Amino acid sequence: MPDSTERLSIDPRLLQRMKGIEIKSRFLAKGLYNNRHRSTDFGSSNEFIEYRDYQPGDALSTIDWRVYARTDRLYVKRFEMEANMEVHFLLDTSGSMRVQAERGLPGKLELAATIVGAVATMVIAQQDSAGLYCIADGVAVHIPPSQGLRHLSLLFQHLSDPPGSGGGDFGKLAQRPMQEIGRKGVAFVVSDAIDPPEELFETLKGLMVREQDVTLFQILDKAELEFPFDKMTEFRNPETDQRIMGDPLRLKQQYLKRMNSHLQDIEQFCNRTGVDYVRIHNGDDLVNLLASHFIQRLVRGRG
Amino acid sequence: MLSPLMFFGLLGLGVPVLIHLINRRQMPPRYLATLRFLDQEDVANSFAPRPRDVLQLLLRLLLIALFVLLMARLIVPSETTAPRALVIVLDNSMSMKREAAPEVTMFEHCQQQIAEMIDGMSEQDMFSFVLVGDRVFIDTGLTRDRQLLKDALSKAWVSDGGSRHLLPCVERGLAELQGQKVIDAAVLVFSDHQSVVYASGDRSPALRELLERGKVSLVLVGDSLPPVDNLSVERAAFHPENVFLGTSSKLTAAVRNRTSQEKTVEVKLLDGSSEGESRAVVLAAGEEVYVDLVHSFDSPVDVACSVEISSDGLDADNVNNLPMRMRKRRQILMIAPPKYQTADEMETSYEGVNLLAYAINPEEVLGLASGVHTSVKRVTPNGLERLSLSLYTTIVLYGVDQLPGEKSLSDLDSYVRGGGGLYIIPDADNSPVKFNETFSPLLGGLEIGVVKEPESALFLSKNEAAVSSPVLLPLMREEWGSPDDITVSRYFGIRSKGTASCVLRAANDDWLGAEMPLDKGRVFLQLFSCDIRDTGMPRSQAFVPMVRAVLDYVAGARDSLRPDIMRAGDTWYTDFLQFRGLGGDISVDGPGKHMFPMTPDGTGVKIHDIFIAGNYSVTHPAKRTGRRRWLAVNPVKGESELNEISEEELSTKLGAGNVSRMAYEEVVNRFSKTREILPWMLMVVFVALIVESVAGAWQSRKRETAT
Repeated sequence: MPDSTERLSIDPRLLQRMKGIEIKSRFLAKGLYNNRHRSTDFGSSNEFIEYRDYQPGDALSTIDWRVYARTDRLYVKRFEMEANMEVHFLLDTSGSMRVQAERGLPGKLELAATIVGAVATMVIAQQDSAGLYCIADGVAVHIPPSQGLRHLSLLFQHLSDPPGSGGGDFGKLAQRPMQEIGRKGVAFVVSDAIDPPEELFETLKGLMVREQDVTLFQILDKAELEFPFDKMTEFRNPETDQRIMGDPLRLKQQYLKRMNSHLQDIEQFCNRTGVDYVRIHNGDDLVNLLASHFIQRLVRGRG
Repeated sequence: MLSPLMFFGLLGLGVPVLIHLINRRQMPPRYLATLRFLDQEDVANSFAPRPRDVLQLLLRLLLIALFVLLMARLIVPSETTAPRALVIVLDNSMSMKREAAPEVTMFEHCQQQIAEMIDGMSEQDMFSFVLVGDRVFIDTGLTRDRQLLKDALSKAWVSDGGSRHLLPCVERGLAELQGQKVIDAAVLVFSDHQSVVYASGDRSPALRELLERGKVSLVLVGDSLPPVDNLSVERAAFHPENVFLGTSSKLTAAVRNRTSQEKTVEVKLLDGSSEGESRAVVLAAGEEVYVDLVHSFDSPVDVACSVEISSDGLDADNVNNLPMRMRKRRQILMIAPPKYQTADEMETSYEGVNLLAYAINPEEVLGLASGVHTSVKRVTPNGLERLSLSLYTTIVLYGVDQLPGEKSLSDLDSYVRGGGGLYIIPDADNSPVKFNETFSPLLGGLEIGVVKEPESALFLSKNEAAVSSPVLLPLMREEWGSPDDITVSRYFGIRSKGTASCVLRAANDDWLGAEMPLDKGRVFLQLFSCDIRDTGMPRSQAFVPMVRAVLDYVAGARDSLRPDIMRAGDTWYTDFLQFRGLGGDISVDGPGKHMFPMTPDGTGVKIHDIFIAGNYSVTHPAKRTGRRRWLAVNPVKGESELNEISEEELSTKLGAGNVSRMAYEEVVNRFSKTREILPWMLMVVFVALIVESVAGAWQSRKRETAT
């Protein structure tokens, strides 16, 4: 566990903007506790679902006596059960996320941790459970979903200095958490998603199959998107230390072409499969971008 | 433009291009998570040159180009003549005395043209006037002072020397003007442009380099003048070159016709101011003839003579000066023992001493002009102490093996060491021991031995290699008659040779004569007497010439009478014995007045820098009453050829670059009417610099923003 004195610093403006925005899954939730999320289980909420024939053992309070008066048959009214929701964060903490940004901009991992922290704060605030996977060259940390401010504090401690080193194929490594997460919930995959996307797509599909409401936050450095270099530079891969020296001006065109193609593939996949896709770089106005995304998500009626 | 070499600065345009094309400045490594989107093939291609920051590149190229143009100092047409820097070189060699127009010499003609140029100077013009011949006589340096130039020009004069220094002066002028950043810079040479002036041009690589690569032009100014007739006295000499009073000498003068036509010329000899013999000579084209003129000298003092020919297109080479040095009467002191009788008996005596006296002065013996040229005083050794030896040119000791006292010997020693000649002939009665004891201080270690009397008389050796002094070489070479009838039957042997040189040997290789230098004088020792019982020499034709040759040889230092002749501009070292020990300067007066210091040893003098031909009187302020001596200065050789250098020859000698030959009128019109646009160029460069700086700053800001 990281040093408890370290705390994740989140812009208060972001928290203020996010305050009151509800995170809901578009799918039915399945939780341990009663909450306001619609659940696949039947419960005691105000949401009527169906009548069924009375069966011995049913509580008498569930019999709809008015129907019995009209039809002389015993029917039991069934109501939705409103459960709490488990929200899982799959955070990429590999070396590629740890590349230092230029000129005072936040690093990708810092940005990702901020997003996770902000969303987790929303989740905890609405009495849902939040769990965290930090994935680098394996699952570095797994914090099972839980509720409460103490749990949020635990999350923040880990997010202040997300563990993990090296790197690998995040999509492939995330498949194990995908299998552990179980069904019905919300999953936020936070990664730069710059590896070949096929494995990532499999992971996302797996999560969708498990009726997780999946959002992919693709966190990028602005320099990775724009490739603004103009002098002879030696580029190094932060994970493999592979080195390439060249003239950026000559490399830029092909680089951007390949980069955009990659991003387009991811975006098309997400659109096709219903995965929410949010691309953020460290030069973006996170406050507005994140808030507007969750507002749009709410407006779109998901949840 | 004034500095076209600066266009090499355009090569600097490549620098920003290279910088912009291949900016390979190594940057710190940059971690890039998206490295996989960089393709290796693109990386390889990325090293190919590719321009970047094109705007900035263009501005930098423009800035450099403008700077180069600024440094090249562009010039544009103008209403007025551009500032000029001219080195005006005026040749003052003898050939400039040639006739350019009636009553006007070439030199005067050039002076007028230069004066016109100086009058036409503008405020910005800088001229330098150089008068040059065998050396630089006037050099004002580059100046804007018109009056200074005019004064220098008015002092210009023409010499009888050559133009040895003209090309070096041109080279120096070209080098001096290289540093002058003016539109028109040229070296103007006002000369008759003889071939000889530029003869050494092809041996001066520095000059050719300046002409071919420099921006300063060399202009040979000269109008094409019609050829003039020129005959010259090439050289002249008297035979003999010195005479006794009342005798004659033959002058032989070489006269050359340098025209292409037959010419008749009168050759005239001048003795001082009086005319001597003259003769008209007809010379074919290009012919050189020798003309003999005989002249009798009736004055006891040296005279300045000259030979002249009729006036022509170049009068300077029509005269040749040569002094005639009058020989003094030769005073010979003969010392012989009392056993040899008086002069009355000489005529009939066959004693060796009498035969020797005859050989010394045959006229006296024959009653012809007795004592006019040679005077022989005969004394016994006892009378030696009462005589002033310095009055005599030579002292002859015949048959003397003893001197009356130490003083006599010391007088003789001083006499010889001071330049006197001593001729010693021992006779068979002399004791070798006494002889050696008496004369050892004078003989340089030589000692005679006993008298040798070979069974048969010895002939003389003709082996020149066996002698080490040339005085009697004519005898061995049979110039004085055949030596085969000369025999020696009695002579002294040599016990020790000392420092003596052998002058004559017998057939058996024994020495018969020796000579010893002693400071400034010489001692000659004849090892056989002149008695006909000892030798057949007095009977031979060679006797008189031999005696005279010995007397001339031993008296050489004291009795030198070579005429003093030099060429204008030459440096000449000579001795003036009559001024010996006076120190100070000698005065050389003639067409010019010169003073030359005596050398430290008090006899010699170095005469130089006389550039006007003529007869100069050489005197010493401390010895006004001494015998007058003349120094003849003749015009330099090689200046009489009035052919101008041809274009082809000029090209060969000086190369093709930046050399032109033009008339004076063309020179005046050649100066361009242009001006320099330096201030405008400075302003443009300044503006371009600001624009480049702003663009650079903007580019940097843009890059920072992008990053």
